[in-house]
Amino acid sequence: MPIPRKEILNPQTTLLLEDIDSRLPVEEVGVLTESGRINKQGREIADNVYQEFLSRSNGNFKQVLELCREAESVLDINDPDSRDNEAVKIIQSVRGKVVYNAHRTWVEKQMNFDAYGMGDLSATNVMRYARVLKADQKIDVYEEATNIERERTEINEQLRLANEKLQQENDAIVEVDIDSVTKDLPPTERKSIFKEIKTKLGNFSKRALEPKTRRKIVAGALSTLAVAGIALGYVANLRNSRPTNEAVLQALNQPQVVQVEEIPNVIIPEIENEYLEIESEIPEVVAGAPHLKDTPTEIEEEPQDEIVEADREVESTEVESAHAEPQDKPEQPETAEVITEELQTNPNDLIVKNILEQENFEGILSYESDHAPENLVNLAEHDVVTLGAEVQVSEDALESVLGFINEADSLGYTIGVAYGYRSYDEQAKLHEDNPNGAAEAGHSQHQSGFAVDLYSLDYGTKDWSTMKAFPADLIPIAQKWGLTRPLAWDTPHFFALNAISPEVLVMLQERGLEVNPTDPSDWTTNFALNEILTALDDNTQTVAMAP
Amino acid sequence: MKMNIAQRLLSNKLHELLVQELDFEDSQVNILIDNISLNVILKSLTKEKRIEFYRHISTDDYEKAKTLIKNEIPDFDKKVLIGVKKEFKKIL
Repeated sequence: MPIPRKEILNPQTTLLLEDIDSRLPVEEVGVLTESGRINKQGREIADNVYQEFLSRSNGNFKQVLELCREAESVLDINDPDSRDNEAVKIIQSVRGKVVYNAHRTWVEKQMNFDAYGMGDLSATNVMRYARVLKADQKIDVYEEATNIERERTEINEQLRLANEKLQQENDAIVEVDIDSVTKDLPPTERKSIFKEIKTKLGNFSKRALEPKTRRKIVAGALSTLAVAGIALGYVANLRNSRPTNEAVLQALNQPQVVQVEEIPNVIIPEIENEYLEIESEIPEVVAGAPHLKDTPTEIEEEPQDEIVEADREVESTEVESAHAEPQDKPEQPETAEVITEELQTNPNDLIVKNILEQENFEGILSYESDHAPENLVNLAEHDVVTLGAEVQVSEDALESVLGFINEADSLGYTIGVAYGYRSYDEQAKLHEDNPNGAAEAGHSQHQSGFAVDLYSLDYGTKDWSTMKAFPADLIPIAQKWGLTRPLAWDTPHFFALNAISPEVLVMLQERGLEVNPTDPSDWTTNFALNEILTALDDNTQTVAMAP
Repeated sequence: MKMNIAQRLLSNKLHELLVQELDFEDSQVNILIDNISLNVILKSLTKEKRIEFYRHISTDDYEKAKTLIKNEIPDFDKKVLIGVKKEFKKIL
């Protein structure tokens, strides 16, 4: 029996109603409820409808909510025996799911919950957290959650593309090999051999890496990403403790009575039951959040030596793996401790932190004559306007430099890079020519590969005769990309902080250093950076010399 | 520490991997690591060795295939690690 409906504006709404109608059992009405509540069958239908329409609207929570509202408004609920009544129950359930999942997505991001068991994500608590976090701000949770979903989809898509590309590369190699050794066989047979080998290769690559090695790789990747917080949260979770989350405490310490603009009141009991079996399990959210405050914060008290040691282990795998035999090392039990040793923060952060704890900075930067970054890349090959055919920077600084130049371009500036990495010998020559303007050999930040000299050129040209000083209004953009100008008087000179770690900028600011000083006599930031570079260089040597 | 949502999502996947003893079939990250390791194997071996390698796996002799990798690519782990880092840097 079709659902009687009034005029519907959105074709998607019609689709929603038809979808529900097709999923409802045909035999009789009233089968979806048990003592006034939606039953398991009903919840399953609602779940399917929710999934279907969320993916149909590209993860846009708001759109699904609006569809539900519209669909609900055209149904006739006065007749208790009609199918409309059943459909309304499904729609209400879907609406509840949208509200819950949108708020949960948003709250997770706001409170940095992640998947580490932080916080009780029952429907009731999610709404409480959201209410407190929102306070009287006009935040469109649905829009924010939709953006988060979009980002999630994008990263998944990028991963998928990366996989696809690698798979194609691998297939191409295998295909050529198979073709050449099975020249005399008929094409169909060749094809089937290729297919078989491909499947077996897939199985083999899954076994090629032992879990232990894989853990190392994952830990290395985490360190690359500098997702220190995540690693620490994970480690803390492994130890059955919960890290003190500032955002949570801050939110929960706020007064309980808050002005809320609009909190949707659609968390219907069915939804709540689905996520939480017993109401009494919900911990009461009170000011001070004792259940969070009482938890130990072991991770913050971890001795730094231990972290540095473990960091070296992760970092030094690259150096050591060529020489060391895996079986030389004692077999380690695959327990939580092994993981905790391998998962650490970006090792550079600790070095920087130690340096920044000093009261004064002597600013000594001293590189050996053979010091050169291993991963130099030529900016000219990345469509950057350079002075000469080769201006190199460390690959670690590439993202910041390219990101900044591209954004400057979108704002109508063409930025040229005059210098990047300078070798010891080049620096020596430059200093000889210009003793006052260029640092002595071995004492220049350019030898790190993290520094660049930037100039503004006429827009859209590569003409260095139009070279102008670096525009002051681009300083905030540069800072956004992790580029700092450590010396106010040396206007073209920029240093890519992100090459060390994305946290350095924050750490410098927390230490009270000017990231882009305006006082020409202020050398403090420059001196601090010099010391950080020296420390990083020393650390590399220590690791390299390790047995 | 404020983190990029993409980093958080990816690290969630890594977390899943670790929790699932690194065998989380649906994870794109897991597939990525598999593909990278295969890429390293195929690109590091000579054609003759590749054929030998195919022969081993077509007879399901994974042990021999592994020994071949260990002998021919002693820095296999290092190469895979570098590959993983590179891909992740590209993605984020």
